[in-house]
Amino acid sequence: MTEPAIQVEGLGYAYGELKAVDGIDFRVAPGEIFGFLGPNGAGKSTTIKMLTGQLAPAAGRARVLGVDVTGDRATFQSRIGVCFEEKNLYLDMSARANLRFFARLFGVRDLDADGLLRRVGLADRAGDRVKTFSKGLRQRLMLARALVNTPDVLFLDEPTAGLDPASSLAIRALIREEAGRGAAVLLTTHDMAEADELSDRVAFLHAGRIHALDTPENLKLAHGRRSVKVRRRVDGEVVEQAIDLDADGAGAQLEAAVGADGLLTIHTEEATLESIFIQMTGRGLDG
Amino acid sequence: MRGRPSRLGIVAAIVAKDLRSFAGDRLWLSITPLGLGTMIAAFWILPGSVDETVTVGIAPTTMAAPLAAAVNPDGDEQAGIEVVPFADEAALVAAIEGDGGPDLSVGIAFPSDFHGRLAAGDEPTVALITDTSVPPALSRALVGEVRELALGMGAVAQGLDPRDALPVRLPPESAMVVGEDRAGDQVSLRERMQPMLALFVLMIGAIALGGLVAVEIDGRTVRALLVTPARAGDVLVAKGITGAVLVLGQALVFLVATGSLGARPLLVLALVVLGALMMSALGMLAGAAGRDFMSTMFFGLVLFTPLMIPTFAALFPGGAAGWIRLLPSHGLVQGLVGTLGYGRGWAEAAPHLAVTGGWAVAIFGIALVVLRRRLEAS
Repeated sequence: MTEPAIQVEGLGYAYGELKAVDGIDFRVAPGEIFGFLGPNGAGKSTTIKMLTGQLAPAAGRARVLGVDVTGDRATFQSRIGVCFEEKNLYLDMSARANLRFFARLFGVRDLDADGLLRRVGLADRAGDRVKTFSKGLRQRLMLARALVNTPDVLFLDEPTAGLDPASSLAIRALIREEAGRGAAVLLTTHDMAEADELSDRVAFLHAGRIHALDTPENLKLAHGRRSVKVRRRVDGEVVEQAIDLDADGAGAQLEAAVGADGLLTIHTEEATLESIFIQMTGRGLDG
Repeated sequence: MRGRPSRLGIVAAIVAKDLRSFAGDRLWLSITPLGLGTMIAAFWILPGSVDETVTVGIAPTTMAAPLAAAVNPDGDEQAGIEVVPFADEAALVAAIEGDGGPDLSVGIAFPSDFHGRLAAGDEPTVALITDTSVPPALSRALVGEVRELALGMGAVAQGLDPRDALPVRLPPESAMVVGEDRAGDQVSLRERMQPMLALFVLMIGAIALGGLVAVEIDGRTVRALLVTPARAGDVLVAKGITGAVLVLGQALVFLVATGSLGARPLLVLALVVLGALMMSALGMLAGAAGRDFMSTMFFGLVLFTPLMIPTFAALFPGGAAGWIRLLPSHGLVQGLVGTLGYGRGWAEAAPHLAVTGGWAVAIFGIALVVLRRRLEAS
């Protein structure tokens, strides 16, 4: 059996009396994209800080690439890439200089900085100072920086937050490429559609605890409600009918609705991760 | 190719990055040479020698020659007193008030019939006129001196040696100068100001370092550093080296440009290295407290201003309060004054070196602890 890239058991951390992370367990396999979903203050960032060696866990244990995060941090930190939500780049340096500097910290001697910048669509801005970059360009550079050491584990904190659709699309494609070459990806995002699209598995984190952990498909099947919405014109007025597919006699109802006169539209309605999250935690992701 | 980086490689990478950032920052690139150039120019503009001649106004004009004879019976050109004659007391007072004539602070006005009244056995009144810059103690001393001069002038008027004017013979005097006797070669204003200028130069470099630290913390780039194999210790060591290069480099330029390395270069260097260490540490503290250029400058001034006090004490020796000795820069300033101003050597400078070294290590230690906490909290 392949050793998990990330292995977390009973992990906990508290800021004073506030339990930010309260005994969570999960594993991420190499090549897997693991979506870590939760509202602000759920404990996502604290978990990432512990897994990347920025914070020492107060309870439980965590291993990244087989190394305990409280042990020899340099051993696993040389094999991880971190893309922070905040754009903490050296603004007075060029994009290329930023990448080369971080490559030196990782001991990477043969970095193809221009090639990496080409991958994130920044080839033509390689020599420009980062302070001249838009938010989207900076985010692309953040991702490129996280890749300078060809990491085995990628921690991506809101990698597409606030980006235009084209930039988001490019970054999602890159995340898939990285997972495709075998990197484990821990992805935190508010964007449930993005998590649904990218993640092999997702965990719902709320108030420091994991409330659900499974593939998006399984979560939707287990917790969502399947329904069909039928619209017909009756006596000149549009009438809408919702049919719960999990209710008794749903097949007959659907058959009758489809065969009736004046049929306008039929929409299937799947549960979304967001609706499941709200159903499970009693709150949305925006707060 | 991916390999585990060495600590040295990580530190070197951070130092190189910081120095490139400094070199690429237009603000620092303009402030640094401007500040350094100003300090060097100020050094050379300040008077490098001490004018020991005292100019004394005398009225009426006829009293100038007897006064000069009484002051300097041997006709010695190095006596250090220049007598400027005035027609009458009113002209003398106007000159001391600053009417555009010779620069005078002290004048003596004799009555026009001074010699006749003296010969008649009267006690003519002699007026001592000083401006407000003359301290009371000096005025009192001058009154005694005028009495003695009047006696001498009376003797000259009678064709006697002025030294015979006193009714008693004074015993032979002996004067003892502790330290190097610099009679005729007093410490000039330039030499007195030198420690202050050197400290200013160290301060400019330290604030530049503070700016680099503040930008690193406030921009949260340090978070990005600490998820790589770089440790907080590597960042601290790198900042210390960057600070030493910036601060010491500028101090060396200043010392060379002002010819201050002359007699005892190693001793001066030792003092400046310790000073650079101390100032770098304070720069790191200012950077840890600041968020940008202005706030770093503010915290820098808060930290550096007390350190300038001993340089003022060096300007006005003898008038310094005892607590000034407790300031971290006191040993550094005294060491520099002794070495650069009085040509003192290692033996005399050793206590100052020890005190400065102790303070430098202590402040650097505090700076490392504070900065480490700040880095890890960011």
